[in-house]
Amino acid sequence: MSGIYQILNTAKSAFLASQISMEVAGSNVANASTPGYVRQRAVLAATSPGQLADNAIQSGVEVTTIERLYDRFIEFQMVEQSSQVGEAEIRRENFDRIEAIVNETDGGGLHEMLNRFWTAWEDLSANPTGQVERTALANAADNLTAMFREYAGELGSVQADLNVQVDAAVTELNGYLSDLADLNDKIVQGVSGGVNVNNLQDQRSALLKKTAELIDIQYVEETGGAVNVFTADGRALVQQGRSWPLAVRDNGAGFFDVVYADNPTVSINGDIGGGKLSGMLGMRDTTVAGYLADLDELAGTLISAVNVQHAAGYDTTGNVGGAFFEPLGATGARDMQVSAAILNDPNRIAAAASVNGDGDNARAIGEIKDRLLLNGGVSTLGEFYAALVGQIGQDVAEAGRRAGHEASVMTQMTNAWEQASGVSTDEEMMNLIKYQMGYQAAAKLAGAADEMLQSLLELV
Amino acid sequence: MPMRITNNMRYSSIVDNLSRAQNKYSSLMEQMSSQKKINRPSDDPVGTTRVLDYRSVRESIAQYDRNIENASAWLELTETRLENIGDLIAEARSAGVNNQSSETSQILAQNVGSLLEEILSLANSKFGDRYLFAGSATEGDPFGRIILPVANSANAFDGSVFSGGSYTGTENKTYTVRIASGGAPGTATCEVSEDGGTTWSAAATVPASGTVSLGDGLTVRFGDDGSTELTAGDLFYVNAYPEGRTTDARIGTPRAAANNGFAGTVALDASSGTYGGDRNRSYVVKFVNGGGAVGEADYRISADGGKTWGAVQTASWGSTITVDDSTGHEQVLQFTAAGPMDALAENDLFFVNAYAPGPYSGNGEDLSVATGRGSRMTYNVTGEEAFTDRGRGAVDLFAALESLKTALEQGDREGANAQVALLTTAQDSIRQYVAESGSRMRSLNISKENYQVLDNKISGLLSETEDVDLEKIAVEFKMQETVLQSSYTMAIQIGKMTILDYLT
Repeated sequence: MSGIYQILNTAKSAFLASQISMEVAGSNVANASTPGYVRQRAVLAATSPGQLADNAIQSGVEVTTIERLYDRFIEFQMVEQSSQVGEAEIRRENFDRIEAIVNETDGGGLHEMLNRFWTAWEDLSANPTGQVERTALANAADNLTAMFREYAGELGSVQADLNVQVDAAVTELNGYLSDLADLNDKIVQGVSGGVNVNNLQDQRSALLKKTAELIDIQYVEETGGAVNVFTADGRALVQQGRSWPLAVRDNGAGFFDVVYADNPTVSINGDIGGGKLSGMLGMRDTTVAGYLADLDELAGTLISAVNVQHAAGYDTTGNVGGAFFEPLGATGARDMQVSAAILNDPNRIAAAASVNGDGDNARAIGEIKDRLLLNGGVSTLGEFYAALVGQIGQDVAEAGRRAGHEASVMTQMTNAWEQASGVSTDEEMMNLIKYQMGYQAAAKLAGAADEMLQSLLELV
Repeated sequence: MPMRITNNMRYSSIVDNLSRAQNKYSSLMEQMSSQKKINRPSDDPVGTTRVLDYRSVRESIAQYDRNIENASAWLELTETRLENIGDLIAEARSAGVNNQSSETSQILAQNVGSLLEEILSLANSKFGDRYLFAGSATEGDPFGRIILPVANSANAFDGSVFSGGSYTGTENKTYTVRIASGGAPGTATCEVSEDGGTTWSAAATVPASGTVSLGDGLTVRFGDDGSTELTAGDLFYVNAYPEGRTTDARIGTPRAAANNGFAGTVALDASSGTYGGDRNRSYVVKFVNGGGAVGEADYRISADGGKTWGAVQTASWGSTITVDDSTGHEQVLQFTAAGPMDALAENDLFFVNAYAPGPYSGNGEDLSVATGRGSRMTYNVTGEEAFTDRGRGAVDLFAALESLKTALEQGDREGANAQVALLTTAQDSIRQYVAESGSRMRSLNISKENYQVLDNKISGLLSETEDVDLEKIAVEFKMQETVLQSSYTMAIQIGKMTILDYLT
């Protein structure tokens, strides 16, 4: 039956629709600054007249769904980019620390100590029996070895800290994985029960990004609403309501390998190709380990060249020169030191090339600074170290550039995401005005119907 | 669809822009305050490497500069000392050429004696704690008063005469040796006087070795290098001084390195002959494997102070080692164990100095320093070349002075004249060393100046690489300040622009 009541019903549906729309707009405004909040929209549709009466021409309005406005593709790219940002960020942070260790720009570093060491030998060659020169040389050598040990120790502690971070990152990751599994359960239940799961989906998106920041992942959304997460090489991390946690295992060299908790003997370090974990493992096992190897090569070459030449000379009391650097088998920077015998008695420095008082052996050792001992006979010790510092500088600059680049790519994606999903208060205000006017119009309609009813009643 | 600008986008773009402007600003500020373009390696990795290399080069230049300074100072002192010695020799010469009465001769002899003392102390001069004229030797004065047998100019015998043994007397004494009957050693007889020829000892046969004992531990040895045998009436005068050095070849006391495993003693074996070399030498014995007791271990011998080594000698050596095996001049070291377990250790070192005839106890080694990459400069003049007959002048200065003094004392005018001629040669040769020292100093000065130029160039390059261009940076800094200020103003303005301001 078409009639006045029908008009009232239509007005009622319009009130309802406007109210819900305003509620949604309100929620958008309230969450304008909430990170990861996807703007929502009440989807309106005209109600089918058939539902009201057989011959009705009127139709009301209804809210069919509260839509989450987001772009699945951008979402996917952002998850991927999170891994890049995470890895680049870890590298940049640690490189800043490494650079501070080898910052030679102000002097006082290993390079200067090395120069002073050579200078001290030359000074001794000019006055081979001088006690002042001998003591100065012993001190310069002691400072040099201390500097080698300090650099090696600092780099070692960067490695150790990274190692601890690997453990912490795995723990953090496991938390995310189990949260993702939980959310999957809730979302699947909600969808099947017709409950609004928009907020849960927002939470899950955020978690996926956080997970990807730690480790590079792939994910697929099932029709039922669950998201399955895999490692880059396809091993499951989360499937519906279940997660497969990772763990760490001592690799025998004092560092942690990443493994599956249910398969603790197989390292998956090599399968991790992105995210903070990849950054940490790469810095620890390749970058810092490489610098340490270079430093060890420098120290080892210095130790053997000086010791060999020193053994060809004689100290002030006619003894054959003993080992200048100790311990004898050491080839590394970490445990390099000047022989205790020489530190106790600088007269044990073999400055002479004969049992007389010449300074030719001191000069020969001083000349090691010009010998092309490294890089296959093209670099002196000093040049090798200067090149290492330059290399580190290059790596630092590169890491900084990459972190900047990845962050700006992320900014672009965030902007794209914001375009689709972000809240604009201006827009919401306009919507509010629109819905308010709709509400006022519906009120007019109801008022008109009411007047019509009054008129009818007056007839009675 | 037009681009939607959301609230977050607006704010994050403001924040991004502000932090970019601030980064640039603080980086410029850092450069302004440090005055350096490179404040960490990543600021300019290639520049950093270059800066470090430049610094190494400058460090090397400073070092070479210091070496040159040292060598120049040494050479300057050498030059002065040699000039002084040359002047003193000239005085001694003028004393020698005077043909005066015997009283005046005695005074002149005393005069020469004191000139000799002066020259001696100059020849023993030190630079710091090192002897100027000892080569690389460090033990004691290179020169000393010599006990020199001086032949009378009228002698028929023209072979060499050496003093030997060691004088144990406490006062200066003049011995006179007179050949009583001529012949080769073994046949000839001689008499000795200790009081200037007033009283003589009984004539005794000169032993076949040629060595005659004078008393107080002192001996003279007649060499077999003359063209005439000893002839009756030949006179030899020997002025003996306490602590004086005899002139025959001699061998020092063998010594052991301080940290040897072997705790026994090492001494010169009685079978050793006189040293036959013509230069001072250090012999070194080094054991190449440890654990052996005396008589077992293998060793090598060096005849140049340990710079080069002979082959490893594995043959059983008993407790003696012959370091010099030239026939008749064998040098044998005798090792005596202090206990049954006196094992020799690897690198145990024993050395002994052998001195050629003459009073010089230094060596002929050059002292040199690096004056550039791979280049060295010898900065010393050894006493051997400057003052002995092994040098350019081929005159033994101290022997000539001592001979002159003795000749004057003995009134041997011809003898004195002969020595004056030798002193002239010695003086000429010393002048040459003076000139040589001067030219070495000049060449060092040229290197020094070259290094100064190079250093200026490198420090220019260094500054170009790491120092800021102050004017440029100041302008950039001002510009960046403006950028930052306008960014702040903008940020505030953008916050104000919202539709809320227009809704009533």
